[in-house]
Amino acid sequence: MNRTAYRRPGPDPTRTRWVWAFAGAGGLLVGLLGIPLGALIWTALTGAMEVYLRDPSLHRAVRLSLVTSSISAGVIMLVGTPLAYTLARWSFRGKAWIELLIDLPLVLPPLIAGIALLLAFGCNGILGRPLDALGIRLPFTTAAVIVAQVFVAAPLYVRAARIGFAAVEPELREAAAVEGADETQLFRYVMLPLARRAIWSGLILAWARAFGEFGATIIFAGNREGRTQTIPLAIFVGFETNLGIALQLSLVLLAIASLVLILLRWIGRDTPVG
Amino acid sequence: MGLRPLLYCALLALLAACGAAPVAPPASPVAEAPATPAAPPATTAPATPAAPPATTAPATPASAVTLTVFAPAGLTEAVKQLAADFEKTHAGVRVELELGHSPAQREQLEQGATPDVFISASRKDMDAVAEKQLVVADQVRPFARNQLVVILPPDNPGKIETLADLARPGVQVLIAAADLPIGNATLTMLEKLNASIAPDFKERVLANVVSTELGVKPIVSKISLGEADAGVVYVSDAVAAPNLKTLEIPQEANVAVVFTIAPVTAAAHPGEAADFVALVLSPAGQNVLSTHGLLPAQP
Repeated sequence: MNRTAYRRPGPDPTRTRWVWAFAGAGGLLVGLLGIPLGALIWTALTGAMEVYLRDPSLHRAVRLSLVTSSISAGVIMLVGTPLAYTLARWSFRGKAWIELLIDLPLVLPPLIAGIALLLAFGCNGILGRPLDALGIRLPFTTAAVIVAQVFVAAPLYVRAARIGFAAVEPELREAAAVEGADETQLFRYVMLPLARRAIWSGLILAWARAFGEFGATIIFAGNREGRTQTIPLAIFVGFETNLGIALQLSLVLLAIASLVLILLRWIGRDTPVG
Repeated sequence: MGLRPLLYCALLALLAACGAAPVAPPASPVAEAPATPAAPPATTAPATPAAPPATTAPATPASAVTLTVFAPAGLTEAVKQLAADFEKTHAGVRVELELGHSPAQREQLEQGATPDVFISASRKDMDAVAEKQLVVADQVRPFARNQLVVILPPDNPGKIETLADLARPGVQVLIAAADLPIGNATLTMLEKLNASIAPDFKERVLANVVSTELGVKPIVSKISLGEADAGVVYVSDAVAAPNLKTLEIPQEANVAVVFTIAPVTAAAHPGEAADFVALVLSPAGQNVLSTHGLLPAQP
């Protein structure tokens, strides 16, 4: 009885109140995110400033950023997917610790992440000397940029993919097993397709984080044009010289990121819900 | 369910305790101990055994002044000491240091930041804010000079004995970004060394530069960690990191960076700002600067 009364169509005063409350709260957040970005874009476009976009060092930074963030995203997907799958599928001793470890880089200020990377892979770091014996010297190389990006961005991907794999109904897994699917087939034809959406959104997040990476890069990889100076670093250098350069570079960063994000979303648009 | 009221009580008690502490004015630093309700009434002194009871008392919290000073990160140690000295002679004044890069701090001033004192590592940035009357233009004073020096990790992995070794292929060199005052000075210094070492010295050293760092301190840190073979920093930075080896740069090729100081026009505490500038220019202040490896403003 109560339920029929509840479902009765017609004007519902609480509904409008809810809509307004939600719109108000959501609007505040949209404003907080949108107004500063809007101010940045507005000032960059309207400020009477010299145009620096022809600067070849900027082109090198854009190229380096695109290359490194794409490689980082690829590396993250290659090694992150098995880890996410393992965490979602099986329980084992120490799993909780690994999950904690994956979340920790998210709270670490990127500068500290850079110092940690130096202490591990730097010339005098824990693994620095063995690496040096192999002829590998990471700091101040493009490879270091990628290592820094993977370090800060991988947790975002692993979290998303793990949730995606874990959300696959156990009944579907069991059904596949009953049909005679082996572990490989289960992964390839059941788990992966069903978790695709989560994997994809994790990848988008990770790529975006890698693309905007600054703190760990400047410490671990340094700042050298064409080799380690990504767009965020070029923005900071620009800020030291001239606000105009920093603003225009930020505009470039936002434009490229928007393009890539839209493209990634478009590619993943009709993936089934995982 | 049953726990919830208890939790609220605990929270309330906490809030009350926190709120109560600042309200009780007479016994300022020692009063924090009795805020924990269980403390026996008469034994407040032993609760904080290390605190000398009366020395911190003269601070008058009612008229507390926070003097904000923008200073270049390269002067960190010297400015910290000056700030401590200033606090000693000015009861109730706390000096808050904002250490950063002069160009960035100039930008912040232009965007409306109002510290009380601005110290710049480059004349260019000081002149820019003086021209806009953001600092008191006729009170801009040079007060110290810093020169460049090459630092090497303690074990000198690059086997660098002379400045000429910096141009040897494979040596990893760190310098500051050209847009920073010190980066600019480094480039001039390398240029000058072309005359005495080799015509292509600067070019070859720049080819060895593995990173143009966004500050002096990162160079010191990375050389301390042994991540690169040599770095160009201020003499004052080398003095602050005595474990590092140094390589002098001959006087005729060295480049001096002149630090300038000025009170900010819109300073919230113009009196204290003027006092702070006076301290820096005074013999006592100059003495502090020289112990940190800085030279007097006029050679």
